[in-house]
Amino acid sequence: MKSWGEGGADRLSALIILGFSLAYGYAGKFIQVGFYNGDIGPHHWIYMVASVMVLLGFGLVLRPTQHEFETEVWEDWRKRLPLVGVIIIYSVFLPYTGFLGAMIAMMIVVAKLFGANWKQAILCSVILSLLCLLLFDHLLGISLGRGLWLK
Amino acid sequence: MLPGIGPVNAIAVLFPIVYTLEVPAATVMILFAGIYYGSQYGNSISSILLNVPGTSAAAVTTIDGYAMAKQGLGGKALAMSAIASFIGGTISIFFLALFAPKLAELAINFGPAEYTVLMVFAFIALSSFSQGSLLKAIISAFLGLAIAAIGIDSTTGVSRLTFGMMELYDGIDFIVVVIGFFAVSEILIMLGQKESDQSKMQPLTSLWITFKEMTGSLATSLRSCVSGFLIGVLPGAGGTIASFIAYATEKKLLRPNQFGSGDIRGVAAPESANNSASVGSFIPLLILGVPGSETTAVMLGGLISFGIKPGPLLLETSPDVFWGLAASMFIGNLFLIILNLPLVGLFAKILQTPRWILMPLITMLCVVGAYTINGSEFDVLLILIFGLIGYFLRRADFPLAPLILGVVLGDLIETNFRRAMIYSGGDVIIFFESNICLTLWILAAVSLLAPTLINSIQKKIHS
Repeated sequence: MKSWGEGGADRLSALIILGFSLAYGYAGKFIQVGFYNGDIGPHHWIYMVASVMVLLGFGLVLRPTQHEFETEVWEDWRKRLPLVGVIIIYSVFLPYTGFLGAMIAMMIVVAKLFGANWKQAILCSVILSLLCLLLFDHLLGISLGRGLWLK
Repeated sequence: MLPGIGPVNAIAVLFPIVYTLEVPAATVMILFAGIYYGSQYGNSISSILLNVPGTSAAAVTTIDGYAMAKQGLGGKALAMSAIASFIGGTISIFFLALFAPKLAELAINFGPAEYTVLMVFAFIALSSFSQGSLLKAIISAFLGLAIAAIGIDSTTGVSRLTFGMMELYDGIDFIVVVIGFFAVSEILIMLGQKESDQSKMQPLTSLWITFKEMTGSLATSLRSCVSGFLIGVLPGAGGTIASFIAYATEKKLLRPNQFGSGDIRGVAAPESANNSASVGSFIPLLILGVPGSETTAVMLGGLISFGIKPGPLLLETSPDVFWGLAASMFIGNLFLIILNLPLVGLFAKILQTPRWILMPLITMLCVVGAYTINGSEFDVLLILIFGLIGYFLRRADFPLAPLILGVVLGDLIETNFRRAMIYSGGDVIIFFESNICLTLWILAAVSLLAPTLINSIQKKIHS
């Protein structure tokens, strides 16, 4: 991510917040108020929060701090994106593979991202996942997702 | 103790487990309180031996603690840290038991308008004491309010901003928000950081403290305990400010001193103050429902999740929570000193745990924690989304404590605001009518000005 100059990073953040606030306030329009017809309804709070955020967003655009984003290193995102991906994959595959399969796969990737070699990653993932399963599923009786074949 | 893994992350990761196990609320609070004040001491280990403070509250300890460790006196510094923590923690428990019921009597006359203003005061206090820009802190608080409004409206039963998704009808669980914004964003940040340089770690030496050193630091510990407690009671202030002020006061009071180059009293002052402040912060948390830090904001959310409403009536409705907590703090402090002195070598070794073991373990606990709340994969995706938002907010210097407060107090502030408006027929003057409201507005104004004063004190320390 390139530098946006002095205060530029704050202006960018403020614009994102402004966009979010406007969308948030607009979404409040679609609340089904139903029979309620009083002075302060469920939608008014949404409008209030959105309005204040719009004002604050404008405030940040006009008076940004000296803050600049530190330069984002692409190398770091090459580590972060696999983490993001592996958590998405975990949540998608959990109902099919069950906890153990999905967790071991996820943990191997995370351990590798944090500098483990293959042997360390596999050992760490298998041991920690088994301990977790033993603790939650067997000792505490909390289901962690059993997968298709155990349903 | 482990740099980056503060008490808030520990609580965030543990919360879903105790929530699913349906542990009694008093027990959960005792567990979280133990993590909170235990971490105040734990942080001193990495501060003294590694020159890396686990949290900002331990930053002052590094000044003299690490200087002592470099002179081969790391053991003494750790022992003094444990003793001062014990003194600060134990004496402040008596203050807690003494002052909390008095404040509860005072706060019993609160109506919806007073509660609304109290929560506004909480937002202002926490935002103004947050590091960085006040404007960003307030934006952060409103983002929290925006998240809290998702789901069924508790007054009318109307669903809001759910976009037809069944998973959002019950609102977004605050645990999911906490895990995402704190723990997952921390993992994302750590992925871009190099492992801390363990070669900087100073060897652990004898823990033996002489009688002269002990008596010489006693007055420092006692004074810092009192100032730490008073600062801890102020919503938003907390351990960081307490430790800075205690250090500055002692540096000025004690002449001659070697503060800055390895004075044992320079370890005693911040350690006693931050432990005392952590106990003091339970007064506004339990009696007014106003948290003073991000950790106590998470604890407040925990209490509400367990159906306990912190406030002036807590002492009557849930005395087990309040008095159980006070008693457990005393026992906890006793164990802190009994266990920490002989086990400090082991704790120092834990600091050397490689990140490829620690971070997968934390990732696993986050994912498992999110899943176990509702048994839903949707919550796992939510922690990821909040983690990414949290990462960018942290990079852009937005403090997260006001956001968590917004999520925790969102429903309460909205309900009380709407009730007050109904009582007054839509007239906002209700928020300025009573003496309690006016006092709270004045306190809010004072807390807006206080950071400027505290900043000048901090600048004096550094100069």
